[in-house]
Amino acid sequence: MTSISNNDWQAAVVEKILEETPNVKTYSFMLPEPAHHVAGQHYELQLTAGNGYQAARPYSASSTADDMPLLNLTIQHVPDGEVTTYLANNLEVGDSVEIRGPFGKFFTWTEENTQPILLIAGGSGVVPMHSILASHRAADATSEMQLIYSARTFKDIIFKDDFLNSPNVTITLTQDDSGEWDGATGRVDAELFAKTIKKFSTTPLCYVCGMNSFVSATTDILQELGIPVENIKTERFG
Amino acid sequence: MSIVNKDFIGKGGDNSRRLPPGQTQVTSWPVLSYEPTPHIDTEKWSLTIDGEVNSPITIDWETFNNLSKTQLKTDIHCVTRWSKFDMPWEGVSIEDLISLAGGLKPDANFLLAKSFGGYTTNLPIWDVLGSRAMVATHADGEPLTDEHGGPARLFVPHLYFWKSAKWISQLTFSKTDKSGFWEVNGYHNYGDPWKEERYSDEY
Repeated sequence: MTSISNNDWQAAVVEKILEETPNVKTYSFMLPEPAHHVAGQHYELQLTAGNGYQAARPYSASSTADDMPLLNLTIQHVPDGEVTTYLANNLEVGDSVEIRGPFGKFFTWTEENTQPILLIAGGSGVVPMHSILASHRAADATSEMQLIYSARTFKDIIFKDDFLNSPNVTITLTQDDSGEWDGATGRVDAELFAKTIKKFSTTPLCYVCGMNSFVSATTDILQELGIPVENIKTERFG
Repeated sequence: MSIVNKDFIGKGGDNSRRLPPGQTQVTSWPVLSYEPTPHIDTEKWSLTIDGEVNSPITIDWETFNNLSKTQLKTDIHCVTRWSKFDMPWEGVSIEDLISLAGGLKPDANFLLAKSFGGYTTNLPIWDVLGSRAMVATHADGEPLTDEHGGPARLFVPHLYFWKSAKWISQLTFSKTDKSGFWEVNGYHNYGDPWKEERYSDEY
């Protein structure tokens, strides 16, 4: 049997598409040689035009070992995005794209890590966090783990079924326009972080993922609250 | 691989719109640099990854070449108005090099890339993450020649090509932006070919 490296493109068939929010979908792919990743890793997806032009983008995996052999990528449609616009408007079950991976060895979590963990996500930055939380749950890990997730509105919350009633998840909405939300509102701030950090027995290791501006603002606040630099891992997208 | 994604056009899928504004397609590969071409012996080659990383590191040619390689087939765009299509490139992704240096510290917002001869260029961090950029050793299936920046150069194909510093020797991550060689000499700080960001506003 030939083994495939994470740098080799594979033709992946779309098996399922799930609409998570009005602009986020989870695409389930079947690869000829299913790849194994650890929570927090990402894959690259590549599209090819009729003239041979190609465009590739990285997307975090949202699936866990339980989903094998399917690979799930949860992807937000970026307005004017070259690849995400095609995925959102054109890609259908049965279509093929090229995928390679997994990549990234830094923004990851495995059950060997027993440190207390604080996950902080803005928007679709919650995708790798969902994978980390799910792995934590699947492993029956007893280590402390909390997620703070900043979403725009109630309908923009991704993975609602897993998150809304979880004692490990705090969601804050930057725009509360629904009337059906009785949770936190407003941007993430020092007060919210301090309240969550107090729940931990010791200083947590912090994972921060989101738009570059969100990550910068968040890491500044964490450092002001006394979290040492070596306890902060970041993953950014433009 | 023979997949074609029907109706996918993107930025380059329509030949009549594949060139960014003001560019001309070439099939040769022009050579441009502000300094005489150096020859860098791989015995003496090294790459330093430092600044806002957890474990700054300097690696030699052998260590670098033992890292897993990534490939990218893409178009390149030079600010001197030529573009070359469908060039296959190979190298080590910046993400992998960052991992080797223990990962980024949270204050890492910018990259300053330095060459053996002293050339520098600056980039926002998110332009080199997510496998969009690499330290390249091969183009068109051949090792990079001296004149094209060999043995290894930065490769950031979605920006004008002066950002893809030849003869790369150091990747320094920093909290604040520091303009590089062309960026202080009248060229645009960012350099998006699709927005024609050729020159800085002061010129």
